[in-house]
Amino acid sequence: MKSLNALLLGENYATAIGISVKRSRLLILIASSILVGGVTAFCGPIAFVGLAVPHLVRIIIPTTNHKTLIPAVFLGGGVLLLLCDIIAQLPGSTQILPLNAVTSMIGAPVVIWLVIKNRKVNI
Amino acid sequence: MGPNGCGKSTLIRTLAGLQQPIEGTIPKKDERTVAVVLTDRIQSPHMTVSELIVFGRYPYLGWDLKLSEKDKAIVNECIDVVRVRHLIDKKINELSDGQMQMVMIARALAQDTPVLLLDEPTAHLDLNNRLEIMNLLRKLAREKNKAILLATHELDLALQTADSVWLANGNSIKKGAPKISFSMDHSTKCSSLKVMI
Repeated sequence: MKSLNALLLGENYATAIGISVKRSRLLILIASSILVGGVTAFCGPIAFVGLAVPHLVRIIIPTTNHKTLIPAVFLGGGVLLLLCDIIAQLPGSTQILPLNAVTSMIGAPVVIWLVIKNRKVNI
Repeated sequence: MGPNGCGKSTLIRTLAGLQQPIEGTIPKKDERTVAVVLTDRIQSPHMTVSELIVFGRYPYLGWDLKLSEKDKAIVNECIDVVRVRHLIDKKINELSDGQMQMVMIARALAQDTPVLLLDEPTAHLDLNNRLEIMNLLRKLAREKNKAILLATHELDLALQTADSVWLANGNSIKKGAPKISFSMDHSTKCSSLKVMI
């Protein structure tokens, strides 16, 4: 968490406050790989959730502190997927939609919004 | 001081441990010895001023990032010394360049190091802000007993505030009290312009 927060300042400042950027990047990569690998092995591939939820949580909780953001993302991801699952198996309906279709409906607009937002910054 | 490309920023970055020296060695130091203010912009729009200043305490915090009473007291003192209390709840993208520079100095101060390095702290600022920052730095050197090394292009402000000035130009460096360094000949040679002092 310390490294994730410090990296918000950029590599130079992170190094200046005692963070080893190379080591932190490697640890973040390993941790992300284990989390993604583990979840995919248990639940199968579910599109867009990992990409959209952190950005949605940041909009709801306007902080940069990962001490708050990480638990909020865990909770937000769970809540969103439960909501998607309720929509997919809509009570009273005999049809069951694929979960991926529902998550994509929420995730795709977020990703498009991110692309547009980043393009604006680059100009 | 010196013209663009003479190595001022390189020296600051090397002393801060952000890059390796091309030649020779620099005595080992860490983030509790040297704090640095660079020209880099912070690209994190959601961050508040208080969150940014707290980063100065990171070298002293554990993995849980819990601030002790001492940490809080130091952060509060830095906010008051730099006089940015009215800004602490603002987002950093709402600040002017001058305010941002003050906040970055407060962050570096919160690191509580004996040495403070600054790379062009007055760049892009108007005269009021330049004066305010240079006076603040002088006050810090005097009252807080900090060793402050800064790279700048401000001839006039350096003459007023610095105890010692190094004039660099490629391979030559001239060191001395401001008046000695700023002999007309040497200043003219360094800036490639006619300088009148």
